Amino acid sequence: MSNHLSQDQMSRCALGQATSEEQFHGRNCPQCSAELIAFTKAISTFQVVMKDWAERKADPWLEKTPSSVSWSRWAAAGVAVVVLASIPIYKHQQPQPLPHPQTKSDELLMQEVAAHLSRPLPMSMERVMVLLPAPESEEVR
Amino acid sequence: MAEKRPLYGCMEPTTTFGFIASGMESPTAEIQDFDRVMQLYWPRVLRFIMASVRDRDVAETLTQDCFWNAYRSRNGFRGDSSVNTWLMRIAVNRVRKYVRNRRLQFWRQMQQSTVDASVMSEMVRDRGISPEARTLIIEQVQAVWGATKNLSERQRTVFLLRFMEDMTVHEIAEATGLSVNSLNVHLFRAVRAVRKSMGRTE
Repeated sequence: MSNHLSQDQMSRCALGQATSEEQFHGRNCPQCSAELIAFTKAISTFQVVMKDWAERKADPWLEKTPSSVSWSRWAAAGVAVVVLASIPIYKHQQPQPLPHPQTKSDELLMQEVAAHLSRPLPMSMERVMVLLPAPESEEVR
Repeated sequence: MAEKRPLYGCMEPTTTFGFIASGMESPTAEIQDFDRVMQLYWPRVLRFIMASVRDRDVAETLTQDCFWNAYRSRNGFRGDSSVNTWLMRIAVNRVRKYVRNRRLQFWRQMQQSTVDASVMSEMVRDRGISPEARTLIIEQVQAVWGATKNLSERQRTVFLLRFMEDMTVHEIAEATGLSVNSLNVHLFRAVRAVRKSMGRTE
């Protein structure tokens, strides 16, 4: 008779239906223990891989299920469509808008820039020129 | 203001959900609840059917059938068993019906060899593991996958429910309609056959 667990005893150990003696042997015998661990490890790897695969396969399908999309998203999308569709109508119906204050200030700024660029002297020299005598006084002399 | 009750305060996969047992007044709420049931149990049902029929497309189709059947018969569910067991019973019946359809057997045999080869590489992701570790995982999965292939339909069902779905013997008995004694015999034979096929013989 073999000193190790038989195939049936091993199967009972794997199912958790072994007697206490079989369990004791299964834990303490290196060979039987290695066999049981190898079986358990393969089964748990299979379980993990199958779980992972199924979750990956299930995710895209569940995401694209129409009923899983919340109503708030549909409502927001509807509002956006209505707003976008109403913009051209609104523009068409409104009278021509008055020039915006911002436009005015832009024009003033452009005038100032043009004036600055058309100066005969640099701005820093203008202060100096104020101190110099006017050309008419020279003529008086 | 009433505190908003979470849909599933307890996300235990084998919990009996109150909505089916008590019945909800609002159909919308019921459908929303069923969505959650689908989100939670779809992967479970899918992987059980996949490991049973060993064909991705068929597995997805049968899973959809299962949830459609579950949705239609939701009013008949009284909460005597968990939702998980209830859904698995539907899945087991659906798989049985498919497997016993003899007209499809020829095509299934033709397809299986090509499916089995490609399924392994698809199932095991290569993200974050070394090629050696991936090879080892594929070998282990392939060993179990190949071993379950040769089991009878009933043995494979009980084996998968016990070892892949971690269901108890009583839950499996409810899902399959087998008596506990008969179930234990099938389970024992399945484990012995799988071990033998995997080369773990004495």
